[in-house]
This record gives sequence, C-alpha cells and structure tokens, in this order.
Amino acid sequence: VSHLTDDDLVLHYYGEDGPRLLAAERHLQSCPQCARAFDALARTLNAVQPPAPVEPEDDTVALRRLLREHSNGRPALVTGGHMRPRDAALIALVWAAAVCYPFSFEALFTTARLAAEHTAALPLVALTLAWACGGPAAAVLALHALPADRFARFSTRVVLCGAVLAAISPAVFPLVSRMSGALLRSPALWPWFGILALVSLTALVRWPARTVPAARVLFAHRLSAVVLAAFVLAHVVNQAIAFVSLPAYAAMRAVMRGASQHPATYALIVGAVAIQIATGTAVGLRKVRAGSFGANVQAVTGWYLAAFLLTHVFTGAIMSLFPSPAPPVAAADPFNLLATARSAAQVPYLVLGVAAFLVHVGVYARLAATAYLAEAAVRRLSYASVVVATTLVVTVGLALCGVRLSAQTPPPGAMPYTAVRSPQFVAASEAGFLRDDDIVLGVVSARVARAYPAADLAQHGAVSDTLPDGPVSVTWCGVCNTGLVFRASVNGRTLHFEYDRMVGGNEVQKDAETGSSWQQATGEALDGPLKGSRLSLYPTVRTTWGAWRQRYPQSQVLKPLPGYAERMPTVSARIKSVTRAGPDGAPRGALALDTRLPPRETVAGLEIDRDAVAYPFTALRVARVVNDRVAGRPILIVHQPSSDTTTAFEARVKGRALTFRTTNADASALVDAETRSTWNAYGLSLDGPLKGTQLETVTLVPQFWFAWSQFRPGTRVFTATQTPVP
Amino acid sequence: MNDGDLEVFLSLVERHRRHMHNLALRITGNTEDAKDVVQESLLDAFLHLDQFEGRADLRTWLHRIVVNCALDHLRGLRRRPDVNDPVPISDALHPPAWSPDPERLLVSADCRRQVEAAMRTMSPLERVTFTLRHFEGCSIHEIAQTVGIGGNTAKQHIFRAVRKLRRALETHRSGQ
Repeated sequence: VSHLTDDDLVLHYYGEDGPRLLAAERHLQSCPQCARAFDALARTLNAVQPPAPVEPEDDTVALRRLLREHSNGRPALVTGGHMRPRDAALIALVWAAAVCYPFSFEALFTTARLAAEHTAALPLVALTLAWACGGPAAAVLALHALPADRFARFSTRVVLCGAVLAAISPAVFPLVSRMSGALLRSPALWPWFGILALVSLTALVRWPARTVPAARVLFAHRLSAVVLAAFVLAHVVNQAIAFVSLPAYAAMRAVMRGASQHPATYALIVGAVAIQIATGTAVGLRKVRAGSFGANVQAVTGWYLAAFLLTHVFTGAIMSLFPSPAPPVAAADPFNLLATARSAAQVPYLVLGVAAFLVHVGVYARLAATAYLAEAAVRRLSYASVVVATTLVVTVGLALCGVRLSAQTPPPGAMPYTAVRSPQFVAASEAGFLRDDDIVLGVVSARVARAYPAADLAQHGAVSDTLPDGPVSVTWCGVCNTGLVFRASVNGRTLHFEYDRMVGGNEVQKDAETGSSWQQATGEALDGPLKGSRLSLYPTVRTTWGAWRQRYPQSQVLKPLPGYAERMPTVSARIKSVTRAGPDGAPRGALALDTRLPPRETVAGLEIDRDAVAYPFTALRVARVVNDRVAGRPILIVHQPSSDTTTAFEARVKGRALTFRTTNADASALVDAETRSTWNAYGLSLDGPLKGTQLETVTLVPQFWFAWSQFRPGTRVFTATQTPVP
Repeated sequence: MNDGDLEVFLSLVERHRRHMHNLALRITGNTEDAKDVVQESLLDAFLHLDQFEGRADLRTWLHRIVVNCALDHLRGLRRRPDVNDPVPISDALHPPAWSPDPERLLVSADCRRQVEAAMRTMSPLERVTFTLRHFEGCSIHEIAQTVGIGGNTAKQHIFRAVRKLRRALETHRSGQ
C-alpha cells in the first residue's frame, strides 16, 4: 500500500487531485495512518480564516485626480512634480553606464598594458573589467527599484530605456564601432552618443500597453532555446578548454566548425537565434517587475543575449551591407584579446555573453525545478550550478585574456593583427624562414640593407623601424597588395602606426602619438590633428628574397615573431599568387572602379607632381624596359621578370636625358643609346663613359589597379606597345 | 481619453471596488497596502482599458490585475524593511462566531497571530497562490493563468505555503 504524501493530502483537501480523487478518498477510509495525517492537515487549514470583508473607504476624488493626471499624459519631467530623487538616481546610474561604456574598454586595454609591465597593476585590470561588465548589473539594480507604474511616467520610461542600453552596450558597441568605421570613417564615440540620444527619445511617447505573450510564443522561445543551448554550451566549453590546452581547443573547434558550417546546421542555428530574439523581445518587457530580482535578472540577461546573438551570428551579414572589407588577417587574437585596444572591447562582450547565457538558462532552470523538486534540493542544485557557471565564466575570461594553465604556443591560424614596434633582425644566412621566391620589401640606408618579408608584414600591417637616416614605418595592405615604406616623422615627431580601419579597400592606420588616421596608399592623414599632412615615401624595392640576398648578401632580415613565422608559408603563397594573377573583381569598399584594367591587376604606380602613371606587371613582363616621360622628366622603368622586381630612375645624367634598352632576357643588364654605357637594373653604370654613375631613384608604388586608380583618378596606363625603345 | 470616458470608467469599476479591496486585503494582509494595491490596479486597468476586449468579464479582468499588482506590491515590500511589519491582519479580523467565550477568543487570537507570522515568512508567490487557493477558492489552473506561471509551479508554491503554515501552527499547538 502506498500512503498519501503530504502534498497529496493538500491536493485532496482542496479537491485538486483530479482523477485520483476517488482512489485517495478510498485510501483515507482504509488507512488510519493517512486519515490521521489528513485530519491534522484539515484542522490546521480550517484554522486559517480570511479577514472578514470590509467596506473600502471612498477615495473617489483622489482616484479621479490620479486617473485624470495620467489620462492627460503629462510627463513627469515636464510637470516636474513627480520626479522622485530615487528615479533621478536610477536614471543617472543606467545612463552613465551606457554613456561611459566606450571609455571602459580603453581603460581595460591601458590597465592590461600596465599589468604586462607591472604585475601589481593586475587588480586594476579586474577593476576596469568590472566597470566594462557593469552595465547589465546596473540595469538589474535599476529594474529592481523601478516604480510600479507600468511605464506610465516619463521618468520610469527613461529608466527602462537606460537599463536596456546599459544592459546591451557591451554587445552593441563593437558593432556600432565597426559600422562607424565603415560608413563614417570616424571613431564610434559620436555615433554611439547619437544612438543613445535617439533611444532616449522613445521615452517621450507613451508606450503601447504590455501584452501577455501567448503560450505559443513562450513555447517557441523555449524550444528554440533548447536547440541553441546545445550549440552555445559546446562553444562555451570549447572556449574554456583553451585555458587548459590550446591543441585540444583547436581540435574541438575544428570539429565544431565542421558541424556548424554544414548548411542544414547553420540554418538551424540562425533560425533558432532569430526565434530567440523575436520571442524574447515579446517576453522581455513583461518580465520586468520592481522587486522581482529573478525576473529582472532573467529580463536583463535576455536583452543582452538578444543583442549578443544578433551581433555574434549576424555581424558578418550586417557588415557585408557596408562597403568596407576587413583586412584578410585582421582578426583579433582569440588567445589574448587584451593585445590591442580594438580587441579589448571583445573581452566584456564575450565574457558577458557567456555569463548571460549561463545565468539566463540557470534562472529558468531554477524556476522550472521548483515545480518538480523539493525546496532543499532546488537550493542544493542552485549552489552547485552557481559554482560550475562561475568556474566556466572565469575560465573563459582568463583564456580570452591570454592566461593559461601552462605556457603554450598558439596554433597557427590566428594571430593578432598588431604592428611591430620593436623589430628584431637576423642575418641573411639565418633567414631559414624565407624561400628564394618569397617577396620582400628592401631598403638601403647608408651601409645598412634591410629586407622585410611581405608574408610577415601582411600579418602585422606595419613595422616601426629606425634606419640610420631616421625612423620609418614599413607597411603592407593585404587587400590591395601594397607594400610601402614611409618616413615615420612629421614635424620632427616620430609616429608609430597601428591598423585602424579600411577605406576604399586600403588600410588606414592610426598613429599612437596624435591619433591621426593615415591612408596607406597615399600617405595622407584623413582625420585627426595632423589631417591633411602627408608622409614621405622612403625609397624601397619590392623584389624576391633570392634577388635581394644576391645583391645584398650582408642584408639584415626582419625576424618573424613566434606564431607568425609558422603562418609565413601560407601567407607568402597567397601574396605570390595574387601578385601573379589577382582574383576577379574589386573588394567591397572600392571607392570607384576604373575598368581599363582588371581591378586586381598588379601595377607599379608612379606619381610625380600629380602626373600619375600605372605600369601593369603584365605589360612590364613583356616590355621589361620602359623609357617614359612623367611630369616632363625622363623616366626609366626596369622590370626583371624572373623576380618581378621593378625599379625606376630619372633617366638623366648631368642634364642629359638617356634612353635605355636591355641586353638580356631578364633586363638585368642595360645599355644607354646616347653614351653606350652599360648599366645594371638598379641604375648603376658598370662600364663605359658613365661608369660608376648612379641614376637618381624614383619610388614606385606596386599595388592592385583598383587601389591605384581610385586614389589617382585620371591616371595614365602604360601599355606594352607604347614603349619607345630605340 | 476625455473626462466623460473617465467617469464611465469610474462608474464601471465602482461596483467591483469592494471585491477588489477585499482581495487585495487578503493577499497583502493590511488595509493600507490593500488601498495602495487597489489604486495601482485601477490605474493599470484605466491605462490598459483598450486591452479589455470583452473576452472575459470585467470582474475576472480586474481580479487578475489586482492579483498581479498585489504580487508586485509584496515584492516591493520585501525591499523595504521599514514597512515589512505592517499593521497586523488581526486588526481586520472579527472573532469567529462559533467561539464566543473569552478563553477560546484568546486562543483564537493567538492562533491568528501565528498564521500572520507564518504568512509573513511566505514569498510573494507563495502568499498569492495560497490566498487565491485557500481564501478565494480559485483552482490551481486558474491561479496559474492569473499569475502567469505553470500549473506545477503554482502547486509547489501552495505546498510550500501550507508547510510553513503547518510548521507555525503545530509549534503553537505543541507549546500550549
């Protein structure tokens, strides 16, 4: 015989035992033990009597006044009579969190750099991280104290708007920042403030009445949550594994990517995310209740998750609508997001994403468990879940910040796109990481020759170096295949550059000293204190490592940093491939398309006094030697097909213009028609009347045609047939 | 909404105000809170009158609003320790008619104090679900719908409320 439990007896007392009513009654008649228990329960509950009905006071006058006030829709701020100090404090709390958010990750990055030098600064990192993650907490606090007026008052709506913005700031700001860079070519601060101002305007109007979501909406929300939770949980666990073992992380990520990138799986994820956001929005405002901590936490984490999923899953699609491609290797380092100011914004974004997911699911699971489990069991489970979730969040956070259980080298495939400020060099004989046909940028200053491998430059964007004749910045844009060296000094001030954004399919780099942004293809400052200034080009040769080493056996070579060296073969192969035959079509973001050449045909550009000429490599490989006039000056272009090395000189000696022709297939030997002197491809006369004479070098800009033509509209294009070879 | 609509609304709800007040009183346990809850409920009903589409009768609609306003109110009270010890429910209670002698009255008043104390230990949801089930006679299904929670959750809250009451009253009896 199974006896009735206490809960069964309660249900029976209230007649709520449904089909078991008769069976329970029969059992009570036959079981004295259960009958005694039931009698005791009934005696207790019978003793609980309701208050006797009372007549309410007649407060119709006050009620009429209250309702009339609200029916007139007078906003509290305008009348000034209803703004309580507590409301003002709540407004200040949530709006300050949203307004100040962009400054928090700058502070995070700064403290991280400080902590890298002084371990004692680590608490500052934790403090700034808490600041960056504080928006959702501020939102929960504000909602907890929200006036219970159903958003009828203006001040309540301002609090709620601010709470939503404070909650989602860490998720939305990175997207706003990217869109701002793409559309406005400016930092995201003012667009961000503009968005906040726009949202605050919604508080001016009376909001529609809240509707209770249909059961179907809740069902769809929960069903899609189950589907999504499986993927998200696997993703979170994978991120946590990075703290323990990078190889294990990489292996699991590869498996997960394979699975999630299958069209059916991807459609399932995107569908679940879309349903979550749509149904979550319907549920979200209903959850908000003053004094209900759990419901408010649920609502705030739900808002954050909606914004997070929107940006995490759909950012690629959203950004594809805007004409600004990211550089091919510009991804943030997933193993140390505190490496750059830009990627530091990802730390609160991702840590809060993980935390919001775990809390959102955890709070719901707790509510669901209360319906089936005893209170003590629910409490024990809750404590265990909090421990597990906190461990997961901390582990993922540490892994994202580059902290690991043991020192491990990140696997090739993802390195931070950050400039090199303290380059190290090795002798040519030690450059085992280079193959003879790898492309390098070569510079010579006094007796120092240095080679910068393109495959390394393309992974950093810029290298700040100091040559005997001053500081230089060696730059590379992977999207437009442009390698240039600039004198990194303006008005006597040395500048250090870092990737900022893309404009016209070409990198824009920001200098750390003044914050000005510089277009790499032109060397011109687009904005900032130095707007309008131009960097001077430093003479450089784009050639192969084999050709450079042959010419400068004592050359020094930029040494790739650990992690970057492993990726060099892949990057080098890509650079050689696109230089030989560029892919079809201009990249997104090209400002204007000149159709005279294929967009990604590599050209050697030359500009003198605003007279611009493009020498396509395809034509140069045929012509090899070009005698041209640019801005009225005689110009010699020499192209050595074996190494795709192009050099240019002013073809004039002591006021006399010279005309050259090549004497061999690779254009490594030339002779001038006027004096019959012989020359090498680097403008040095080796024999004849002008022996020992060095022609003045003219700096060429090799890059894709789309990039050259968009910044030099009206440029002349050299064709092989026009070569005036005598 | 003009003044005419306002008067129509007031006359509509007037005949339900006694019910609303007593419902709020049973849930909150004191008249001052009950007054606040009724006022909040009427404001809520007034602001969202366009939601009332006649699918339920007005009394049911108002009942639901009062329950949820009272729930919000109880949650707000939990945050304010200064008002967490309101006027005792017994002030509004009349002694049961079947216990006229002074000794039984004394015992009964003591018992009520225990009930009040037990109800103060309940969470807002426990108090609301128990009140609706025990005092208002609503079914668990109706309670779940009114408060917007699942049936099983409503049941569990009632079980917990009953356990707290039994603990309080059995301690009281064993102490006599």
